[in-house]
Amino acid sequence: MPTTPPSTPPASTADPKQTACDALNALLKTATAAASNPANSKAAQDAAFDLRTTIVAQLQALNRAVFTGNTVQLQASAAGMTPAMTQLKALQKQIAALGSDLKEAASILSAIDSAVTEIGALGMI
Amino acid sequence: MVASMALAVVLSGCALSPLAARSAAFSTAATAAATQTENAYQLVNQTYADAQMATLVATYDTTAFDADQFTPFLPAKDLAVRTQVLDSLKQYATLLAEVSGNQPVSDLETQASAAGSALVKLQQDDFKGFKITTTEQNLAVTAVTAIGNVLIEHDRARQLPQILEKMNKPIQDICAILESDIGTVGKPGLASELHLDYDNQIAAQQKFIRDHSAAMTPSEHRTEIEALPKLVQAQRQSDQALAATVNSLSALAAAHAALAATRNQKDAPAFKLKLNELVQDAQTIDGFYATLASKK
Repeated sequence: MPTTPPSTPPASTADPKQTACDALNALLKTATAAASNPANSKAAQDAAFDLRTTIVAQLQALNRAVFTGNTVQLQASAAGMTPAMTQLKALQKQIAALGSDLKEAASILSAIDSAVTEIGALGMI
Repeated sequence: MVASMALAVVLSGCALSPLAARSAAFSTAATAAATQTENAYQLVNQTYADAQMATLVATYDTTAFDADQFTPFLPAKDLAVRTQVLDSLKQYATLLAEVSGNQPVSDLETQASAAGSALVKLQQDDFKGFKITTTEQNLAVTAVTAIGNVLIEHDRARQLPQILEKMNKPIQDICAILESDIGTVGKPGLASELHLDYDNQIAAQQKFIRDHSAAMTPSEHRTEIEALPKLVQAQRQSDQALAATVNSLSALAAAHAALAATRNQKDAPAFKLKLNELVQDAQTIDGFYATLASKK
Protein backbone atom coordinates (compact mmCIF):
# COMPACT_ATOMS: atom_id res chain seq x y z
CA MET A 1 0.00 0.00 0.00
CA PRO A 2 1.58 3.26 -1.05
CA THR A 3 2.22 5.72 1.72
CA THR A 4 0.44 9.00 1.56
CA PRO A 5 2.90 11.80 0.88
CA PRO A 6 3.00 14.41 3.61
CA SER A 7 0.75 17.28 2.86
CA THR A 8 2.55 20.35 1.64
CA PRO A 9 2.67 23.12 4.22
CA PRO A 10 0.17 25.90 3.55
CA ALA A 11 1.59 28.93 1.86
CA SER A 12 2.36 31.61 4.41
CA THR A 13 -0.54 33.97 4.77
CA ALA A 14 -0.19 37.60 5.70
CA ASP A 15 -0.92 38.50 9.31
CA PRO A 16 -4.45 39.98 9.25
CA LYS A 17 -3.53 42.43 12.01
CA GLN A 18 -0.60 43.69 9.95
CA THR A 19 -2.77 44.00 6.85
CA ALA A 20 -5.34 46.03 8.78
CA CYS A 21 -2.57 48.11 10.36
CA ASP A 22 -1.05 48.94 6.96
CA ALA A 23 -4.45 49.90 5.50
CA LEU A 24 -5.35 52.08 8.50
CA ASN A 25 -1.95 53.79 8.46
CA ALA A 26 -2.40 54.65 4.77
CA LEU A 27 -5.81 56.15 5.52
CA LEU A 28 -4.42 57.99 8.52
CA LYS A 29 -1.71 59.58 6.42
CA THR A 30 -4.29 60.88 3.94
CA ALA A 31 -6.65 62.17 6.66
CA THR A 32 -3.79 63.85 8.55
CA ALA A 33 -2.60 65.59 5.40
CA ALA A 34 -6.14 66.80 4.64
CA ALA A 35 -6.66 68.02 8.22
CA SER A 36 -3.54 70.16 8.16
CA ASN A 37 -3.71 71.38 4.56
CA PRO A 38 -4.27 75.18 4.67
CA ALA A 39 -5.69 75.05 1.13
CA ASN A 40 -8.70 73.13 2.48
CA SER A 41 -11.69 74.92 3.99
CA LYS A 42 -12.13 74.85 7.75
CA ALA A 43 -15.09 72.47 7.37
CA ALA A 44 -13.01 70.10 5.21
CA GLN A 45 -10.14 70.25 7.71
CA ASP A 46 -12.49 69.53 10.64
CA ALA A 47 -14.09 66.61 8.77
CA ALA A 48 -10.62 65.20 8.01
CA PHE A 49 -9.66 65.63 11.67
CA ASP A 50 -12.77 63.72 12.80
CA LEU A 51 -12.04 60.96 10.28
CA ARG A 52 -8.49 60.86 11.57
CA THR A 53 -9.80 60.43 15.16
CA THR A 54 -11.89 57.43 14.07
CA ILE A 55 -8.93 55.79 12.30
CA VAL A 56 -6.71 56.42 15.33
CA ALA A 57 -9.21 54.63 17.60
CA GLN A 58 -9.04 51.56 15.37
CA LEU A 59 -5.25 51.58 15.25
CA GLN A 60 -5.15 51.91 19.02
CA ALA A 61 -7.44 48.91 19.39
CA LEU A 62 -5.00 46.89 17.24
CA ASN A 63 -2.00 48.04 19.28
CA ARG A 64 -3.77 47.26 22.56
CA ALA A 65 -4.86 43.84 21.31
CA VAL A 66 -1.21 42.79 20.93
CA PHE A 67 -0.55 43.73 24.55
CA THR A 68 -3.65 42.11 26.05
CA GLY A 69 -3.30 39.08 23.77
CA ASN A 70 0.20 38.40 25.13
CA THR A 71 -0.90 38.40 28.78
CA VAL A 72 -1.99 34.77 29.13
CA GLN A 73 1.09 33.49 27.34
CA LEU A 74 3.27 35.67 29.56
CA GLN A 75 1.63 34.30 32.71
CA ALA A 76 2.29 30.76 31.51
CA SER A 77 5.94 31.53 30.78
CA ALA A 78 6.36 33.24 34.14
CA ALA A 79 4.94 30.16 35.87
CA GLY A 80 7.78 28.23 34.21
CA MET A 81 10.24 30.18 36.37
CA THR A 82 8.88 28.69 39.61
CA PRO A 83 10.86 25.39 39.82
CA ALA A 84 14.21 27.09 39.22
CA MET A 85 13.31 29.96 41.58
CA THR A 86 12.45 27.46 44.32
CA GLN A 87 15.78 25.70 43.81
CA LEU A 88 17.63 29.03 43.79
CA LYS A 89 15.98 30.12 47.05
CA ALA A 90 16.88 26.77 48.62
CA LEU A 91 20.50 27.21 47.51
CA GLN A 92 20.56 30.71 48.94
CA LYS A 93 19.32 29.38 52.30
CA GLN A 94 21.83 26.54 52.17
CA ILE A 95 24.73 28.93 51.59
CA ALA A 96 23.47 31.29 54.28
CA ALA A 97 23.18 28.38 56.72
CA LEU A 98 26.68 27.21 55.86
CA GLY A 99 27.97 30.71 56.50
CA SER A 100 26.18 30.70 59.87
CA ASP A 101 27.68 27.36 60.84
CA LEU A 102 31.14 28.59 60.02
CA LYS A 103 30.51 31.80 61.90
CA GLU A 104 29.55 29.69 64.89
CA ALA A 105 32.96 28.06 64.70
CA ALA A 106 34.57 31.47 64.53
CA SER A 107 32.50 32.55 67.51
CA ILE A 108 34.67 30.36 69.73
CA LEU A 109 37.35 32.94 69.05
CA SER A 110 34.81 35.66 69.73
CA ALA A 111 34.02 34.11 73.11
CA ILE A 112 37.69 34.26 74.01
CA ASP A 113 37.76 37.84 72.71
CA SER A 114 34.88 38.78 75.03
CA ALA A 115 36.56 37.10 77.99
CA VAL A 116 39.80 38.92 77.29
CA THR A 117 37.97 42.24 77.01
CA GLU A 118 36.12 41.70 80.32
CA ILE A 119 39.27 40.63 82.13
CA GLY A 120 41.07 43.60 80.63
CA ALA A 121 38.35 45.87 82.04
CA LEU A 122 39.08 44.45 85.48
CA GLY A 123 42.74 45.45 85.10
CA MET A 124 44.06 41.94 85.01
CA ILE A 125 45.70 42.22 81.56
CA MET B 1 49.44 22.69 61.23
CA VAL B 2 51.69 24.74 58.96
CA ALA B 3 50.88 22.47 56.02
CA SER B 4 47.13 22.81 56.53
CA MET B 5 47.42 26.56 56.83
CA ALA B 6 49.51 26.67 53.67
CA LEU B 7 46.79 24.67 51.92
CA ALA B 8 44.25 27.11 53.24
CA VAL B 9 46.22 30.00 51.81
CA VAL B 10 46.28 28.28 48.42
CA LEU B 11 42.55 27.52 48.57
CA SER B 12 41.65 31.03 49.58
CA GLY B 13 42.95 32.18 46.20
CA CYS B 14 39.85 30.61 44.55
CA ALA B 15 37.48 33.23 45.95
CA LEU B 16 34.78 33.10 43.27
CA SER B 17 34.34 30.54 40.48
CA PRO B 18 34.18 31.87 36.89
CA LEU B 19 30.49 30.87 36.63
CA ALA B 20 29.65 32.61 39.91
CA ALA B 21 31.47 35.74 38.76
CA ARG B 22 29.58 35.70 35.44
CA SER B 23 26.25 35.14 37.21
CA ALA B 24 26.90 38.15 39.43
CA ALA B 25 27.75 40.31 36.39
CA PHE B 26 24.64 39.13 34.55
CA SER B 27 22.48 39.96 37.56
CA THR B 28 23.29 43.68 37.48
CA ALA B 29 22.62 44.03 33.76
CA ALA B 30 19.40 41.99 33.96
CA THR B 31 18.01 44.21 36.72
CA ALA B 32 18.72 47.30 34.60
CA ALA B 33 16.99 45.78 31.54
CA ALA B 34 13.90 44.87 33.59
CA THR B 35 13.70 48.38 35.05
CA GLN B 36 13.95 49.96 31.60
CA THR B 37 11.15 47.75 30.31
CA GLU B 38 8.94 49.05 33.14
CA ASN B 39 9.91 52.57 32.06
CA ALA B 40 8.78 51.75 28.52
CA TYR B 41 5.27 50.80 29.71
CA GLN B 42 5.07 53.97 31.80
CA LEU B 43 6.20 56.07 28.84
CA VAL B 44 3.47 54.60 26.62
CA ASN B 45 0.77 55.25 29.21
CA GLN B 46 2.02 58.79 29.90
CA THR B 47 2.26 59.74 26.22
CA TYR B 48 -1.22 58.36 25.58
CA ALA B 49 -2.54 60.54 28.41
CA ASP B 50 -0.72 63.57 26.96
CA ALA B 51 -2.28 62.88 23.54
CA GLN B 52 -5.75 62.60 25.08
CA MET B 53 -5.21 65.93 26.81
CA ALA B 54 -4.02 67.62 23.61
CA THR B 55 -7.03 66.26 21.68
CA LEU B 56 -9.41 67.39 24.43
CA VAL B 57 -8.02 70.92 24.29
CA ALA B 58 -8.20 71.02 20.49
CA THR B 59 -11.77 69.70 20.25
CA TYR B 60 -13.32 70.96 23.49
CA ASP B 61 -15.48 73.60 21.79
CA THR B 62 -17.11 71.08 19.45
CA THR B 63 -17.05 67.78 21.31
CA ALA B 64 -18.73 66.91 24.59
CA PHE B 65 -16.33 66.04 27.40
CA ASP B 66 -16.55 62.35 28.27
CA ALA B 67 -14.82 61.45 31.53
CA ASP B 68 -15.05 57.72 30.80
CA GLN B 69 -12.64 58.13 27.87
CA PHE B 70 -9.85 59.11 30.24
CA THR B 71 -8.46 55.71 31.17
CA PRO B 72 -4.86 54.48 30.86
CA PHE B 73 -3.98 52.95 27.50
CA LEU B 74 -2.63 49.77 29.05
CA PRO B 75 -5.37 47.91 30.98
CA ALA B 76 -4.43 47.72 34.68
CA LYS B 77 -4.81 43.94 34.96
CA ASP B 78 -2.53 43.30 31.98
CA LEU B 79 -0.01 45.85 33.19
CA ALA B 80 -0.05 44.20 36.64
CA VAL B 81 1.01 40.90 35.02
CA ARG B 82 4.00 42.67 33.38
CA THR B 83 4.93 44.31 36.68
CA GLN B 84 4.79 40.94 38.41
CA VAL B 85 6.89 39.24 35.72
CA LEU B 86 9.48 42.03 35.70
CA ASP B 87 9.63 41.89 39.52
CA SER B 88 10.22 38.15 39.26
CA LEU B 89 13.03 38.76 36.77
CA LYS B 90 14.59 41.26 39.17
CA GLN B 91 14.17 38.86 42.09
CA TYR B 92 15.87 36.15 40.05
CA ALA B 93 18.73 38.53 39.25
CA THR B 94 19.05 39.54 42.92
CA LEU B 95 19.02 35.95 44.17
CA LEU B 96 21.55 35.00 41.51
CA ALA B 97 23.85 37.78 42.70
CA GLU B 98 23.41 36.76 46.35
CA VAL B 99 24.08 33.11 45.65
CA SER B 100 26.99 33.91 43.33
CA GLY B 101 28.48 36.61 45.53
CA ASN B 102 31.14 36.38 48.21
CA GLN B 103 29.16 37.99 51.06
CA PRO B 104 28.88 34.94 53.37
CA VAL B 105 32.64 34.38 53.17
CA SER B 106 33.36 38.10 53.64
CA ASP B 107 31.17 38.13 56.77
CA LEU B 108 32.99 35.13 58.10
CA GLU B 109 36.38 36.71 57.39
CA THR B 110 35.35 39.91 59.22
CA GLN B 111 34.24 37.99 62.29
CA ALA B 112 37.33 35.76 62.36
CA SER B 113 39.62 38.78 61.98
CA ALA B 114 37.93 40.67 64.82
CA ALA B 115 38.06 37.66 67.11
CA GLY B 116 41.72 36.96 66.35
CA SER B 117 42.77 40.56 67.06
CA ALA B 118 41.99 40.13 70.75
CA LEU B 119 44.32 37.14 70.96
CA VAL B 120 47.16 39.09 69.35
CA LYS B 121 46.82 41.79 72.03
CA LEU B 122 47.13 39.43 74.98
CA GLN B 123 49.99 40.55 77.28
CA GLN B 124 49.46 38.97 80.72
CA ASP B 125 51.69 35.95 81.37
CA ASP B 126 48.72 33.97 82.74
CA PHE B 127 47.15 34.06 79.28
CA LYS B 128 50.27 33.48 77.20
CA GLY B 129 48.95 30.07 76.17
CA PHE B 130 46.23 31.82 74.18
CA LYS B 131 48.47 34.49 72.70
CA ILE B 132 49.12 34.34 68.95
CA THR B 133 51.29 36.43 66.63
CA THR B 134 49.91 38.62 63.85
CA THR B 135 51.21 36.12 61.30
CA GLU B 136 49.42 33.26 63.06
CA GLN B 137 46.25 35.34 63.24
CA ASN B 138 46.39 36.00 59.49
CA LEU B 139 46.92 32.34 58.78
CA ALA B 140 44.04 31.31 61.04
CA VAL B 141 41.67 33.82 59.45
CA THR B 142 42.76 32.70 55.98
CA ALA B 143 42.20 29.08 56.93
CA VAL B 144 38.69 29.67 58.29
CA THR B 145 37.77 31.77 55.25
CA ALA B 146 39.18 29.23 52.81
CA ILE B 147 37.23 26.38 54.37
CA GLY B 148 34.07 28.47 54.14
CA ASN B 149 34.85 29.26 50.54
CA VAL B 150 35.39 25.65 49.58
CA LEU B 151 32.19 24.46 51.22
CA ILE B 152 30.07 27.22 49.70
CA GLU B 153 31.65 26.84 46.26
CA HIS B 154 30.99 23.09 46.41
CA ASP B 155 27.23 23.69 46.87
CA ARG B 156 27.24 26.40 44.25
CA ALA B 157 29.09 24.38 41.61
CA ARG B 158 26.69 21.48 42.10
CA GLN B 159 23.42 23.44 41.84
CA LEU B 160 23.93 26.72 40.00
CA PRO B 161 24.39 25.19 36.50
CA GLN B 162 21.14 23.20 36.89
CA ILE B 163 19.27 26.31 37.98
CA LEU B 164 20.56 28.34 35.03
CA GLU B 165 19.60 25.54 32.66
CA LYS B 166 16.07 25.26 34.09
CA MET B 167 15.56 29.00 34.00
CA ASN B 168 16.73 29.46 30.44
CA LYS B 169 13.53 28.56 28.60
CA PRO B 170 11.23 30.74 30.73
CA ILE B 171 13.67 33.65 30.34
CA GLN B 172 13.82 33.21 26.55
CA ASP B 173 10.00 33.00 26.35
CA ILE B 174 9.40 35.99 28.62
CA CYS B 175 11.87 38.19 26.75
CA ALA B 176 10.30 37.19 23.40
CA ILE B 177 6.80 38.07 24.64
CA LEU B 178 7.91 41.40 26.10
CA GLU B 179 9.68 42.18 22.81
CA SER B 180 6.43 41.32 21.00
CA ASP B 181 4.50 43.68 23.32
CA ILE B 182 6.64 46.55 22.10
CA GLY B 183 7.31 45.55 18.49
CA THR B 184 8.43 48.17 15.98
CA VAL B 185 6.86 51.30 14.54
CA GLY B 186 4.57 50.31 11.67
CA LYS B 187 3.55 46.98 13.21
CA PRO B 188 0.77 46.58 15.78
CA GLY B 189 2.19 47.02 19.29
CA LEU B 190 3.37 49.58 21.81
CA ALA B 191 6.08 51.12 19.64
CA SER B 192 3.43 51.99 17.06
CA GLU B 193 1.13 53.26 19.80
CA LEU B 194 3.78 55.58 21.19
CA HIS B 195 4.56 56.94 17.72
CA LEU B 196 0.84 57.39 17.02
CA ASP B 197 0.29 59.24 20.31
CA TYR B 198 2.91 61.80 19.32
CA ASP B 199 1.28 62.09 15.86
CA ASN B 200 -2.01 62.75 17.67
CA GLN B 201 -0.44 65.46 19.81
CA ILE B 202 1.02 67.08 16.70
CA ALA B 203 -2.32 66.94 14.84
CA ALA B 204 -4.17 68.35 17.86
CA GLN B 205 -1.61 71.12 18.27
CA GLN B 206 -1.93 72.06 14.58
CA LYS B 207 -5.71 72.18 14.90
CA PHE B 208 -5.46 74.31 18.03
CA ILE B 209 -3.16 76.80 16.28
CA ARG B 210 -5.41 76.93 13.21
CA ASP B 211 -8.62 77.39 15.22
CA HIS B 212 -7.27 79.99 17.66
CA SER B 213 -4.51 81.84 15.80
CA ALA B 214 -6.80 84.85 15.22
CA ALA B 215 -7.21 85.32 18.97
CA MET B 216 -3.50 84.86 19.79
CA THR B 217 -0.88 87.56 20.27
CA PRO B 218 2.21 87.12 18.03
CA SER B 219 4.16 85.91 21.05
CA GLU B 220 1.50 83.33 21.98
CA HIS B 221 1.33 82.27 18.34
CA ARG B 222 5.08 81.73 18.26
CA THR B 223 5.04 79.69 21.50
CA GLU B 224 2.34 77.36 20.15
CA ILE B 225 4.16 76.90 16.84
CA GLU B 226 7.44 76.20 18.66
CA ALA B 227 5.75 73.31 20.45
CA LEU B 228 5.47 71.40 17.14
CA PRO B 229 9.17 70.66 16.47
CA LYS B 230 9.60 69.83 20.14
CA LEU B 231 6.95 67.14 19.79
CA VAL B 232 8.68 65.81 16.67
CA GLN B 233 11.95 65.61 18.56
CA ALA B 234 10.34 63.87 21.54
CA GLN B 235 8.71 61.40 19.15
CA ARG B 236 12.09 60.49 17.65
CA GLN B 237 13.65 60.02 21.07
CA SER B 238 10.74 57.90 22.28
CA ASP B 239 10.90 55.72 19.18
CA GLN B 240 14.61 55.20 19.87
CA ALA B 241 13.96 54.43 23.54
CA LEU B 242 11.50 51.68 22.71
CA ALA B 243 13.71 50.27 19.96
CA ALA B 244 16.60 50.17 22.43
CA THR B 245 14.35 48.48 25.01
CA VAL B 246 13.56 45.74 22.50
CA ASN B 247 17.29 45.36 21.82
CA SER B 248 17.94 45.19 25.54
CA LEU B 249 15.39 42.41 26.03
CA SER B 250 16.90 40.51 23.13
CA ALA B 251 20.39 40.99 24.62
CA LEU B 252 19.09 39.85 28.04
CA ALA B 253 17.83 36.60 26.53
CA ALA B 254 21.08 36.08 24.60
CA ALA B 255 23.22 36.81 27.68
CA HIS B 256 21.24 34.33 29.79
CA ALA B 257 21.51 31.65 27.10
CA ALA B 258 25.26 32.26 26.93
CA LEU B 259 25.50 32.14 30.74
CA ALA B 260 23.75 28.78 30.85
CA ALA B 261 25.72 27.43 27.90
CA THR B 262 29.13 28.42 29.26
CA ARG B 263 28.54 27.02 32.75
CA ASN B 264 31.52 24.65 32.51
CA GLN B 265 33.91 27.07 30.86
CA LYS B 266 36.58 29.01 32.70
CA ASP B 267 36.70 31.84 30.16
CA ALA B 268 33.49 32.50 28.31
CA PRO B 269 34.11 35.02 25.51
CA ALA B 270 30.63 34.38 24.05
CA PHE B 271 29.00 35.30 27.34
CA LYS B 272 31.22 38.38 27.81
CA LEU B 273 30.27 39.58 24.34
CA LYS B 274 26.53 39.18 25.03
CA LEU B 275 26.88 40.78 28.45
CA ASN B 276 28.67 43.78 26.94
CA GLU B 277 25.82 44.20 24.46
CA LEU B 278 23.30 44.02 27.29
CA VAL B 279 25.18 46.57 29.40
CA GLN B 280 25.55 48.94 26.44
CA ASP B 281 21.85 48.67 25.54
CA ALA B 282 20.84 49.28 29.15
CA GLN B 283 23.07 52.37 29.32
CA THR B 284 21.71 53.71 26.03
CA ILE B 285 18.12 53.38 27.20
CA ASP B 286 18.94 54.89 30.55
CA GLY B 287 20.07 58.01 28.71
CA PHE B 288 16.88 58.13 26.62
CA TYR B 289 14.51 57.80 29.57
CA ALA B 290 16.51 60.30 31.63
CA THR B 291 16.30 62.82 28.76
CA LEU B 292 12.56 62.27 28.30
CA ALA B 293 11.91 62.54 32.04
CA SER B 294 13.83 65.82 32.27
CA LYS B 295 11.66 67.34 29.51
CA LYS B 296 8.36 66.51 31.20
